[in-house]
Amino acid sequence: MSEERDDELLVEEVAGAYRPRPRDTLRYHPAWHDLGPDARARAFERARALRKLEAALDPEGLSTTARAVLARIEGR
Amino acid sequence: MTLSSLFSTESHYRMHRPRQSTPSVEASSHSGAELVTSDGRALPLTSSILRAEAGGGLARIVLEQTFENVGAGDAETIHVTCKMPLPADGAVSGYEFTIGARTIKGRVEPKERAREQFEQALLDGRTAALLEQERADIFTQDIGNIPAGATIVARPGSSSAEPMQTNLDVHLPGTLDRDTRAFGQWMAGAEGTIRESLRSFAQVVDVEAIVQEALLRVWQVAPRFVPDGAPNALLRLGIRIAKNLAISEVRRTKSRPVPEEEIEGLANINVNALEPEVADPMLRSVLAKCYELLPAQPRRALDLRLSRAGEADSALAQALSMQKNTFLQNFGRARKLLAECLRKSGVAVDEGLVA
Repeated sequence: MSEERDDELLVEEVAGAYRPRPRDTLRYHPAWHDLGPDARARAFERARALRKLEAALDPEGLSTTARAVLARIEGR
Repeated sequence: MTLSSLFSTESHYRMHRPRQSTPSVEASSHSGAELVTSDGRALPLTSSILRAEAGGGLARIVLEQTFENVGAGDAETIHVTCKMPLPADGAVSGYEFTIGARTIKGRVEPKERAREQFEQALLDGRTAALLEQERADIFTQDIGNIPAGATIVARPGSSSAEPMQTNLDVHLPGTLDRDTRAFGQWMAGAEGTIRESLRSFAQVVDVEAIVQEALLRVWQVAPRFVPDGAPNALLRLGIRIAKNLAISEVRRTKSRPVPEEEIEGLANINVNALEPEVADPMLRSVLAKCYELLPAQPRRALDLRLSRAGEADSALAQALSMQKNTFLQNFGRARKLLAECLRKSGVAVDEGLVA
């Protein structure tokens, strides 16, 4: 797999709402550390756009970020 | 909303009883506007126009959708259900529909009475419609006694606070009562603004991790929060929490030396200038149709990311018996196809969705 394509998959992953549950400190997506500055900026833009899309597909208008936070609040 | 609306007209169409069980098409999580006959056939949507006007602190939106009853074999009667997503923070402020040359305006009645009047109108052989709230932003509409070959123009209207006037603190009482649904609605309006406030940190911290942590902390401190009286007090608190977290992260991780003045520069955002983001009602409607066009595998990947929000992609891939990279490729394909479909439908697409 080419490096560019590898990078693209990492961006796709980091733009998702999965984050390891924090213990003492905030926990980043493991793949975030493998991205360079430009790819991190791209992941930010993609996440921003995806959250709007997700909210528009959700009956209550919630993005996967909001759903993930609610899951943490509700102890799921 | 505890009211529903009844709309009737003195139609000359021959009487037909409504069928025993109204075929309410289940409003899925991806529902958009559609008109469905009692035997499940979708009536073609031939046009969709969104009209909006703002003034006096209110925004009024009317979604005008034209459907054609081209396939009804029964010449006299069809029974239809229409799902119409409306802005979650809005209220239905009017409704009318046009069949042929006639336009019928709605009136608001208590729910049970409206249902009774609707059914009586159908028994009397009149064309009638009933609009009922199913969920916060989903309304079902029954229209009875529609002739074959007729064109139906439905115009549900909603009013909501003008975007510049949106105050997410309306969800504060519920949040203080530990109502996660109210907090969810607050997050729906606040998340995008909090994320945007962290834009300058995007290359040095994991913004998604900070947004989630900031939202969680807002929930935790909300019971002790005293609003200052200005709009969006809880949002401003959320932004401050997020920025402080980001600054702490830059200092903690020391991934690269960052001078104090640069950190201050990153954090230099006017909190008071940030407004809640307002969802585009057109996006929801068009997106539902684009979603239906997705091929099976990309759609499955997208569905799983939505339904199991916050789970690791490796776990989602495993649930679909895919390699993680295959899952990500399928998800990426769904994203690009949706973006392409939205563009073709005339909806502005964020560059981040296609880049």
